[in-house]
Amino acid sequence: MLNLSKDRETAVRDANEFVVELRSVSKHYGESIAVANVSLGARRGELLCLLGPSGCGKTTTLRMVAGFVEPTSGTVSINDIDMTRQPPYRRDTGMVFQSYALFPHMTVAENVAFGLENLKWARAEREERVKEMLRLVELPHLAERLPGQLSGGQQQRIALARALAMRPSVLLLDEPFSNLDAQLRVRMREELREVIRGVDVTTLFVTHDQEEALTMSDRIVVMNAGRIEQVGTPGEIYEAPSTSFVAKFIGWCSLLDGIVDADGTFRSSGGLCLKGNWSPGPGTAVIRPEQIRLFSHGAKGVAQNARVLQSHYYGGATRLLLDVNGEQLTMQDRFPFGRHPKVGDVLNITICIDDMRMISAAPS
Amino acid sequence: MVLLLIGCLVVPLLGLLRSSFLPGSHLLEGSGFTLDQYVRFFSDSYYTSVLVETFIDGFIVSLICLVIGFPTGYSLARLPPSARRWRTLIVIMPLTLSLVVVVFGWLIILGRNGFVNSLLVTLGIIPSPRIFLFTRPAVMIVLVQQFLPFMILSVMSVITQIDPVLEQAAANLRANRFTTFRRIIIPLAVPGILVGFNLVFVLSISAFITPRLIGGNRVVMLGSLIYERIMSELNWPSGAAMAFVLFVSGLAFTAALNAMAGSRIITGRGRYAL
Ligand SMILES: Nc1ncnc2c1ncn2[C@@H]1O[C@H](COP(=O)(O)OP(=O)(O)OP(=O)(O)O)[C@@H](O)[C@H]1O
Ligand SMILES: [Mg+2]
Repeated sequence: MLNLSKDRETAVRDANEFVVELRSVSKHYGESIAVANVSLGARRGELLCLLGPSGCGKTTTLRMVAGFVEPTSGTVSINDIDMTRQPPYRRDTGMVFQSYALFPHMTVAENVAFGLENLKWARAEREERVKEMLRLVELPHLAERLPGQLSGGQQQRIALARALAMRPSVLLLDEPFSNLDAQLRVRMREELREVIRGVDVTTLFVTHDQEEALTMSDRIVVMNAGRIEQVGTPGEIYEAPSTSFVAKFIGWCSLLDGIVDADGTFRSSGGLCLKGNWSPGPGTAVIRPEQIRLFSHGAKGVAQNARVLQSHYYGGATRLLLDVNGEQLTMQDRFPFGRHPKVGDVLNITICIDDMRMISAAPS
Repeated sequence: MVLLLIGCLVVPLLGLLRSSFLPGSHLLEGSGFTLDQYVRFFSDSYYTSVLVETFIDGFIVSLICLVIGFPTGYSLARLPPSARRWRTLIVIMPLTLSLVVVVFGWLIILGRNGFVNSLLVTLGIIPSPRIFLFTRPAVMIVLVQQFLPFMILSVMSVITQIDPVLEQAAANLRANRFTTFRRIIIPLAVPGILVGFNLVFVLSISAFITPRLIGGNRVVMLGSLIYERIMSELNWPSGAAMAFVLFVSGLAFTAALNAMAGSRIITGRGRYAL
């Protein structure tokens, strides 16, 4: 009885949960391994981000979903149908390429209509859908232009309209902002997110920019050297990194190796002592710059003296490299005008340990 | 550059044009200005039929070169550059051989006691050797062999300019290989196809060694007729007139072809009407 209901539960979950699913997927190029045993799934309507440093296998993973790269082992399924050996044109995906890949000899409208023609949509519906998509990306007046006559941002929006026109089950984006300048990038990021939310399409998104990943995604898959390091919401990834790689890659932080005593106190190998109640054993403390404050009475945390080693002014905030009991920590705060710490100054600081992350090293 | 062009091309051409208006059947025979040579050419159905036949042959040879050369050029272009280099060399190699050597090679292959005949007889496909030489297909085969490299190279150079990502984008937009070829590759390759087609066509209709040696007296193309007229009969005015007819009609034909292809395909307009 119990067994049966559990079986049904997993069956229901398996049938509905993931629109795209990769199971133990690997890709080898001769000796080198681009993707190693990756398993992940994107839920319906979710914006899932593949994040990692250059060469970690993000693009390869995305291209295996689209069908341009055949996995060495493992399976790729879309809507619970095994697509591992299917050619790209049989897969229900819409892709926005890094270079946009608009067809230069077709007008914007023809580009957007191309997928619909291949899906054998009737002409009237096709034209209606093209208009609708161009309205969605707010470029209806450019329908008759050729791609060569568009700006980078406009090309990107047309590429998005073209991919979404077919109502694909999955939208695939490979570093869609990398060809845009910094300001446009932020604006397009917000626009893209809004459009994707509006049409409610499951999205797989590749980037090496952690800010992009944090602001846009529902969940983030952090990859390193072909493997998945951690999967979680932006909050989980930032606040509770499960490996020091993730902690270092997402945002600034100081990592202190050390040991947690039986009473829960952390002692770094450099000699810094933080009273807390972590579980005993060797571990790495993750200290974010914003977890270090100037000392004030009543503030919770560990008070310390710190000597300023470096000071970088960023306008809105100042980032300091501090020497605290022989350990180097980074802090970031806003200092009143004229009271900027200088190199060599000694500050009274508080390290907030409440939400401090301790990565316990697996005993090996 | 312009001087070179005028010196080497325009001046001899004008000389030729001038001599085509001379009367008589010898360069030094007459003087003055007459349309006799052209009138004689167009009023004789033998000449006009040779002209038409030459154009048809040239067109078919170009088409065959396109059908063989396009896939070859395409697959060469999609190879990594290192693998492409020596294969391209193999394509160019036949062009470095003297045409006479190539034609004599074909004479040996197609001859009565040649390779093809002995193979077919040995295999029992035909009871006794056939005559392959001096037939129109034989001439076309040799022309195709000679001019195929031009088509392959033209197609290859244009395909290398087409970003392979466009093919992936098409595949992602549910286009199968055939649709991708028809809607993306071919329209974008039109400039290269036209260059190759024009080259092969012009080279074919003006060929004279191949029709002379492979076609003999039975397969007559305008090129060999002109050669005969000038080199054997020394009838310059008549040969010049024929050469000019060939030149102008060839030019008109390729121009018409380009205009047609240009308006239909390159701009992508009127595609819905196709
Ligand atoms: N066709 C290929 N042949 C051989 N090795 C390849 C090929 N494609 C990718 N690789 C290798 O696989 C690894 C992963 O490549 P991939 O393009 O997936 O990285 P990425 O995470 O997208 O990096 P980036 O952020 O720089 O785009 C790299 O080390 C790369 O050199
Ligand atoms: Mg990449």
